Parts: sequence; C-alpha cells; structure tokens
Amino acid sequence: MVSSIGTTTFIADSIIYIRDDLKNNITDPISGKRDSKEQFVMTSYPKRSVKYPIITIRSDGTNFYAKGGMQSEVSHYILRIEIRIWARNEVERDELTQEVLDRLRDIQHTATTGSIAVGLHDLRVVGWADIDDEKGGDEVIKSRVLIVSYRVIVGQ
Amino acid sequence: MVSVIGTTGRLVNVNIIGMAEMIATIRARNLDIIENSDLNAAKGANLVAQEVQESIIGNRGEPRSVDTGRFANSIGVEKLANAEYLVFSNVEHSKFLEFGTSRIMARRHFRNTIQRNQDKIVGEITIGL
Repeated sequence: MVSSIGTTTFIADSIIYIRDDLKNNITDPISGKRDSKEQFVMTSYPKRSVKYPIITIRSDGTNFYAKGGMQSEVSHYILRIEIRIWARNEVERDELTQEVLDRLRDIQHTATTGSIAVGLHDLRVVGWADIDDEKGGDEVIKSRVLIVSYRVIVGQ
Repeated sequence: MVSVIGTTGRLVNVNIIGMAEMIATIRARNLDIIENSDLNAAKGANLVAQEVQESIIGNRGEPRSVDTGRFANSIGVEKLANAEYLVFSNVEHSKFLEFGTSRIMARRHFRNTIQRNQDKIVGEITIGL
C-alpha cells in the first residue's frame, strides 16, 4: 500500500494507491467465481480473456503544470486518472460506479492513509462516457470511462 | 482534400475543414460568427477540428483510423452560443475508437489533440483580447 506519493514516482504511486484502495474496499460481484490468479482491479486494460466485471485504472495524463517559484524545484501537477468500469449490464455498471465515487470521496480526509494524507489533493470528477461494446453473441460489455483528477505537489 | 491509404489498402479522400467550410456550415444553420471573442473561439475550434482530422489520418502520434474515410470526414464544428463551439464526430463508432473496447485499444484522437495543442488553442482564443 502506498503511504506517500514519491517525487520521482508520483504517476505510478497515484495509480497504485487508487488500485489498492479500490481492490480492498469495493465488493467484487463475482468474488466466489473469480479465479485466484485473476484480478478484479487492474492497472492496465486486460490482454487476456477475463471474467467481467472488472475495474481498470490508468493515467490519463496531465493538463496543468506549474513551478513552485522561480528558484524552486517544487512542481505542481493536476493528474488525470481514468477509472474504467467494465460491467455485464447497466445496473452493475451504475452500482460499481457509485461505489467507486463514494469510496474516493470518503477517503479524502482519512488520517494517515487517506488520499490527502498520502499527497493526492483536491479530488475532482472530470466526467464520464459510456461505451457499450458488443463482443459477439449475447455478451455485451457495458463500460464507463470515469475521469478523476488530483492535485499533486512534488519536489518539496 | 488529402488522399490517405486506408486499412484495406485503397486510397481514401479526406476533406480537411478550413475556416471557409466551417463558416458555411454555421451559416447554413442560420447562425453567424461575430467579431472578437466569438471569432477567436471559432478559430480555436477550427484548429482543434483540423488537428483531430490530422490525428485520424495518421499524421500525429496516434494510430491511423481510416478505412472508408467516414470517421475522418465526419469531424465537424457546431456553434452552441457566442464564443462557445463544439467539435464533434457523428459516426457511431467514433466512441469505440476514442475510448477503446474489450477488443480494440483506445486511439484517443480527441483527447490527445486537446492535450497536445492546449497552448495553441489558448493562444488562438486570447489573441487580440
């Protein structure tokens, strides 16, 4: 579990922090049927066949950078993070989205292990888009691309 | 108009939107572009639309997304209000290409265009203000 966002690893640390928190706190709807080698929450889109639902978390870049001052090495970023919920139906997609949003909101001010305590400030939900993906036959993957952003200050 | 080789190997024509075409489309909807901030915003929107098309035909970092040319030729600009414009695609598969699916990787034509050209877009919008 990431305890603090590192200056030289802030991108990876941010993703891993969110992954670990969601993995430990979001209920897997098929936990009894999922193989022990399969993950419910991942940090990349799956390359192999998976059992849905899953959640993927990736960096979505940054659209803001500022220096801490003219003589300073402190850097201020707004990191965008993509949290994609891949579900089997719309109800499941909505429920998982709600759980993710509630969890991110709840952990902001938790002492020591909360998102602000580790260095992820000013949570914002930038927006989301729904993608309905017909895999063939009767299987349709209902995914939601949720973008959130955090302010990160590094180099202190 | 540019000719691009599509994924099936045949030549496809793509019409890169210029300011004249964009203004004609806006006027066809009984709207017009006013001076100053509205004109600057229109120029910014036109820049974004052109850059998205360049991304789709493979002239930027993203993989080329050209088969019949429908997607590249579907990029348009719509005026929503004074100094407010929307750059869009109206083909159904644009969402799948932009965000990816369980079978294809995301191409990010729109999002990467915005991130790559933020300073230029702000420059177009604020010039002369």
